[in-house]
Amino acid sequence: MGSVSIPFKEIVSGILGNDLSKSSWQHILFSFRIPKSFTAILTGSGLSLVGLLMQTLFRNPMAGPSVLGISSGAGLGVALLVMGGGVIGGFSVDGFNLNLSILLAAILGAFIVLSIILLLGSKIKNTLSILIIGLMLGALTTSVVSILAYFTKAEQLQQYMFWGFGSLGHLSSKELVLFSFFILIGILAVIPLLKPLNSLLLGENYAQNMGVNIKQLKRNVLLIAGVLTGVITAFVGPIAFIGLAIPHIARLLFNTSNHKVLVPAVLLIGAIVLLICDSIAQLPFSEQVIPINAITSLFGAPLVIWLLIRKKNYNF
Amino acid sequence: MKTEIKNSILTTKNLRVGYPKLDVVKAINIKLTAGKLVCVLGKNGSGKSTLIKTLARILDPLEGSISIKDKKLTAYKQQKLAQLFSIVLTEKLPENLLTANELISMGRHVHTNWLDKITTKDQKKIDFAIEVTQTSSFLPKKFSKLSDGQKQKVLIAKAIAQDTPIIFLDEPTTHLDVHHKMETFLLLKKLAHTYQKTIIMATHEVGLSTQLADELWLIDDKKIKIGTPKEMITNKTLGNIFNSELIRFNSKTSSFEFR
Repeated sequence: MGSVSIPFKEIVSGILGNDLSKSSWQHILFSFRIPKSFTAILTGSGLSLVGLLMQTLFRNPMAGPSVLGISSGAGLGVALLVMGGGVIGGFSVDGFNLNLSILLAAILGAFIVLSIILLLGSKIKNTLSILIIGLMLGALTTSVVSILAYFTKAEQLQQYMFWGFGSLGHLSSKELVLFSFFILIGILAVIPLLKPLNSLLLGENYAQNMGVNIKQLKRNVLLIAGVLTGVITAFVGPIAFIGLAIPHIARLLFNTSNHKVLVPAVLLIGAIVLLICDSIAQLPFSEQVIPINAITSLFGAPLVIWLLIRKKNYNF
Repeated sequence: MKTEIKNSILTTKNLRVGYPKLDVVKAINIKLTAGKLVCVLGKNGSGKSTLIKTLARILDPLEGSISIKDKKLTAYKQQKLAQLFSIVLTEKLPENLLTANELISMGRHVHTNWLDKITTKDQKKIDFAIEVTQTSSFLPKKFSKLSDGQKQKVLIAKAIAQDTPIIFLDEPTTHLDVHHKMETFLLLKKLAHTYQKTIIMATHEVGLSTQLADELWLIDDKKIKIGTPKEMITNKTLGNIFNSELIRFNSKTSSFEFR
């Protein structure tokens, strides 16, 4: 669904290996639409998994990569590299093509914010306080970005602004392979954590008494969440609310806290929801495209308010 | 099993428990043999919970050492410790959607493989725990929807399912009515005597403790006194701790009455 409409029959036959009746359709389908759908699937699954991990780790239903400022942290990493590079003047980043330094900067940024939250989270148990700290960290990173933007060249600023809208559509096939690789590693790394994550549902003291090495578990979850958030933010930009909302939808649908059910559920639902959001962002059959981040926020923000209102009798 | 009784299962040497700026109990020297029901008694804030939590390695000791089966607690790996003792705490569980059955089965976590596959042996232990705690009627219910008393029973069942030689319990009968309190005490005594478990329980139930415990640990004024209920009553230690201008301990009925 986009500015050029391709008949469904053609798409199916195209995927099955036949040539499409128009070569432009062939190009649009394989160079744009299919990679974009893959990106949406990977992003949706990855962000939802991070959200689930963080909600269990913090035992806080409001945890999520965007709400707690993790995505902003990754964004700051990228901003420092893109715009800071311009200020310092040592090197410039050409475009947003496959670039390992951007990846690293985003992962590092995500890590730093995650560690701060984890550190403060052990002292503050209150859901709302942690939420506010996340907001403040987000505000802090935004202000640093603004200061950077003030001193930076227009070109680089523009690059960063476009990145900030979040886009699923600009990944080359090489980037897509690398992206899939990271997400897959992240998902695989969660499998041995399913049992200790279930133990953690009873709190740290009980989990420890069930044989869980809490420090090690926290470190592993932090590592996976940091890498996934960093990679996703680097490749597609900050995408809000998916990570927070999807685990809740999965719990409501399956009525369970068991991670053996929830992990596959969030991967699936996350992929589907982001595909739907992307389709809406495309404004089907028109030539306009809305930034994907606007769509996810449009649905996500009311959901968070609703969750907070009914929190009293909500079990996560 | 009989040979194990002679060896001490739990030993502490000059143990001091409390918090960095606050001693709670000092000079604790325990030498406990297996298969006993121990009740830890003391007034509110005397340090019963602090002692239980330190023995269960939730808190670090300020001084001295704790050994299980003649090996220091700090020398065990977390995984091994979880096979040596299970815990029932007073703390509220985080919000979750676990059913009572799932929660009790989680007692087997330390024994199951990395995918948490419940074997026939695991299921037998779970069924045993459910049977003796009489929790079968609310198994499919969500834990968070149970009454406080039912929650306590489920947590006790989880600890029993874990099938460890030692069980530490922190006030496990607070929310139970008189009938279920007695039932729980009898169950714990049976676990100790029939199944050679060592049960260490902090409680406010002085009457039940003096009737059913094998050993009492009385905590008062930062000191611990250890003895059988009979000794504690005859040498008036029990009375001295709890007696006040309001109440006194009647050693004949092992209960308190107004002065």
